Amino acid sequence: MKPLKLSKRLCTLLAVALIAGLFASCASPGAAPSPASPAQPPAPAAPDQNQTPDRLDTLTVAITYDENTITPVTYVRGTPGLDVMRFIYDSLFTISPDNVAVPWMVEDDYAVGADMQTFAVTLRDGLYWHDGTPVTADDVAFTFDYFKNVFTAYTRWTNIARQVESIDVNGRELVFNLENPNPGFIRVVLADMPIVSKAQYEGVEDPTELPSLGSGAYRLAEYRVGEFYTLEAMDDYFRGTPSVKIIRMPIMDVSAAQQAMLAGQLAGYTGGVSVELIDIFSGSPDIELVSSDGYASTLLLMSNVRPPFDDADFRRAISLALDLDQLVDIITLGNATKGTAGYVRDGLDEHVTGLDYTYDQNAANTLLDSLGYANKDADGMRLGLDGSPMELEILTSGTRARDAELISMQLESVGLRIRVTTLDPDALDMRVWPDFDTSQPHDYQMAMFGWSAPVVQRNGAIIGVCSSDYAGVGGLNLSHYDSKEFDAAAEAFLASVDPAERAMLNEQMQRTAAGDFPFVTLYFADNINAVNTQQYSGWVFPKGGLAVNVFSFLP
Amino acid sequence: MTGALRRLPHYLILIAAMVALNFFLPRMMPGSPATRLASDSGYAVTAEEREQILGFYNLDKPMGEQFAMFLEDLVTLDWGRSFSKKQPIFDLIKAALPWTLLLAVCNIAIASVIGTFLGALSAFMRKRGRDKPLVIGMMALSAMPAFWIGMMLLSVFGVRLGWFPLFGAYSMWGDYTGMAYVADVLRHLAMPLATSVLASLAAFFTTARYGVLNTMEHDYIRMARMRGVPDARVKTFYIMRNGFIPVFVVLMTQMGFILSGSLVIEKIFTYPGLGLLLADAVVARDYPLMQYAFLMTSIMVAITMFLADVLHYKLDPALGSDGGSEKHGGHR
Amino acid sequence: MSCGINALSVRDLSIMYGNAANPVVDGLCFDIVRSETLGLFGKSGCGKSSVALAVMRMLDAVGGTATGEIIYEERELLSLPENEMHKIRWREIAMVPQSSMNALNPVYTIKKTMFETIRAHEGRKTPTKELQERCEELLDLAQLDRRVLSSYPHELSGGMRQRISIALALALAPELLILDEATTGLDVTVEADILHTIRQIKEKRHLSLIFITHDLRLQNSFCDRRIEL
Repeated sequence: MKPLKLSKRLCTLLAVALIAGLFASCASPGAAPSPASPAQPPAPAAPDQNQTPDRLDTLTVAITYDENTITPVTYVRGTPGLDVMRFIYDSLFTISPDNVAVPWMVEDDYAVGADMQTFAVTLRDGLYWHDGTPVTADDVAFTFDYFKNVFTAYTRWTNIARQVESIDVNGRELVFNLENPNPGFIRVVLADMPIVSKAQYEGVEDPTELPSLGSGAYRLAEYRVGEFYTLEAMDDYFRGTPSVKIIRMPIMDVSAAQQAMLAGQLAGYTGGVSVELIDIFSGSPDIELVSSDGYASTLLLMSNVRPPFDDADFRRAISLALDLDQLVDIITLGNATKGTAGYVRDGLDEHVTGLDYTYDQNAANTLLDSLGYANKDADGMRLGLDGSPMELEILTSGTRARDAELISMQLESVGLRIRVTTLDPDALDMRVWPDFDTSQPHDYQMAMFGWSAPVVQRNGAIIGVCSSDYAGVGGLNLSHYDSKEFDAAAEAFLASVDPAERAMLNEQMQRTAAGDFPFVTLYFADNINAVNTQQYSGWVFPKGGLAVNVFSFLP
Repeated sequence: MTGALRRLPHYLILIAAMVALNFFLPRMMPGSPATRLASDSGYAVTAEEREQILGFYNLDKPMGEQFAMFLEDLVTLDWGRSFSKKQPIFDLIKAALPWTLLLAVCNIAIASVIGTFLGALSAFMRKRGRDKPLVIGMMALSAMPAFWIGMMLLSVFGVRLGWFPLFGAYSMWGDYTGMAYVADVLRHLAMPLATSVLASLAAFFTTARYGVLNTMEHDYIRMARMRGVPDARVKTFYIMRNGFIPVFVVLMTQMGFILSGSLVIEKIFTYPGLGLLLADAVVARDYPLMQYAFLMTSIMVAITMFLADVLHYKLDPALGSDGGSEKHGGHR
Repeated sequence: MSCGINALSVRDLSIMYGNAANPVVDGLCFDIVRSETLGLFGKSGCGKSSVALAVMRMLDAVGGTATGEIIYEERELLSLPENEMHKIRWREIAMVPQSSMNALNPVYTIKKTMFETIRAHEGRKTPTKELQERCEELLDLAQLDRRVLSSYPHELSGGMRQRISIALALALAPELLILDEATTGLDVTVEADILHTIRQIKEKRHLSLIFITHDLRLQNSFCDRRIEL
């Protein structure tokens, strides 16, 4: 019947139009390579462009998590919490964009005792709290004492405060006397510890309810829970007037921030750009993508106590079978630096050259054969030493699932079948690092894991992941690697104060670990920052960090 | 009205069960809040420190005792602080609740009216086969997940066209008042609401359509026409009026979906409602916040179900009567 | 207005459903004399109700078509335009359906249904007070308590609902009443009661009745004449 046919045709047309429309809108905004981008939207929420020659009135930069009042005792995460906290609170030294500890609140001439147990600094003039009162040496001494003895719930500050046995105060001069020698004291302690106001914190048992009061370049003008922060510049800041008067920081997750950046509503955000989005961001004319060294590592953990991984040769075979170049290419699209067997990243001071991983599948096969895994089943997969099929499992979570899949494919080509098990991050932590207590037995064979930049950058970082003192300095040794040789070198390293000796011991530790393959450091993904250079052009891209840092706003 | 009130005990029991479930279920999840409580992630916490922290938050006591303390806190409105946000939970929920309510109430109002009307329309047009495009369109719509619809809208109308803001419930630094504020809120509400409505339409459409189709078969429709009642009146007061009664059952179930689905929509549009609060709480294993947020959502669903029940009783006089034993009068 | 002794004449009536080749009713002819009770008799499914619907011109609602002639007051009903038929349907010819269990709008009170029926034909000119009185009279006629007006259908028994249908059918004082199996399914005592009521109404209002049933006993006791399908 005619009417029916007509409506059928209409339906088909509608369906086709709908699907076509969907594909059209799916076509990524960056797909059109033409520089004259079509119909730039009116950008209704663009921030104030009151650009006087020197100074911007406001800038909108998103923060990707709610970090409470961002005080030293209320921030939640290293990134973005600690990063933004450093806008508001200062420390005696700071880590410069070149990743070097430099004097900040103290004068440039400071003294380090030959025994590496005394450090003498002079507090600068012209330092003020945001309420106008001056910063004194008493505030500094108080801060260390407070976190060491009074408020110990925030372990980050307590741990470093405990390194100080006593502080001698004389006017604006401070002498730190350490419990034990520590050549890394300046970087690990003085460049980390935020200084708090004695007047505000004295006598307070629970400082988490105290309002924000710092001495940094910006003060926290407003915080609305779950919604936004407003930071206001301190014009008299001792390092110069900040270049943006007001920084508005709405709280939103990374994907929302990325969308808002593409729409021109943000100048930046406290996060990186995932590699798949590089094209989309490149297509936008105002947005610049800047890559900087990333220090956060991605690694393949192996349990050094569970067979067959308790055999160092087996672990070496696995490492031989892994094609790190392929991983870097596929997962990070080339935006990463390969890991080395020495654990310490190329580019850091303690890096030892010549400890690269070898990729040789033939050697891997030969090694596995010689270890007794020569027998294979019908699929060509190796059988265990006792002749039964091997049940190997790799744990992963979130986006690292792709790494795990790729690794399992690479290992399959040497006859090892690995089952990939995906868990949510907390569940994975429970199996790999139960209760975050390394001395407890773990429950995994292989697992995808990663360490954040601060962990990786530390002096003697390798000790944390390789020392068998699980309850102490080896608190990050999730593989339960246990080597007497390594431990001896580590102990000597920690006791030594001679830089040359330490360098030699450091190399020794790395070589020892490199020979035992406790885990495989796969790569260090680059930090890819997206910033809107049309709205603001003063961005600074620190090594191992993100564009949203206080240096981007200081002259 | 008494019919609906008789259902009240059911709802009270329901709420009691919710309170218990809301307490025990999050605690059965693997993972522990210990690390968030201590410091930022990446720093190992010693066993001793962990014990200290758990003790401070009463997490080391037996479950029964924790539950008793929870009940006491619940009733006295002393809801404590969120583990992850360090703010009083009551304040957090008080700030977030109105936004979710705004979204949900507008959604229900709009989606139920539009969906039901379209459903009735499709039923009336069925004879001549003209309802096909509408039915197919609805099927296509119901196949699209809410998050996808949301992301499409965000991408097209927010990013590419720039017609609507991409985040927030209002312009955070706008300082609008009065009508300007209302307009600002509406602009921010537009996309999340559109997503929500599009996702909820299909259920109302289908129920209304089948309700109406079913009703059209009944004798009293034919008899009314025979008695000379005009067609428009028959359509409105006989067919739709009776055909829409099953929609109230749907309304009840939809409220649950809408309130829980708002989590996804709020996340996409960074809309500061209860859903977003809950999402953050779950990721952080923030038990107290999770508990209270879930509880609030559950209670809202229960209340809406009860209201829908009451409305249902008012609209369908045949419901709940035991065969005519109720007295005459007092029904209007 | 009444001329001739026949209230209704049916000539050569054939009724078909869908595209079926076999008509349910084929070439039916009969007359009804004024003030007589004509019985339409036949087994179930032989098309008795279809005839009733044909006379009421409601066949298309159930998907049927009719050919032939139905003459009422010198007008042929099957070819009448709808707005003309609207004046005849219920005003001159009315019907009491087989089962009234579902014949009333469940969300209307009886009063609302009755008011609506009257207003549908008389417009809103009739004052409410008069409507109320008329409805109460109709209920009296159907031997129902007046309080029924404020009840909902689900509060009434089957027999009471049937009586409502009778009252509704009489609302506009028709000349011809069709009773389509009007007492089937009711209790024997209730049935006797209702039939008694109908007989009284017929006397009072001088109605012509078409009484459709499959019950032979009823036919014999109630009808003056009968036709078999």
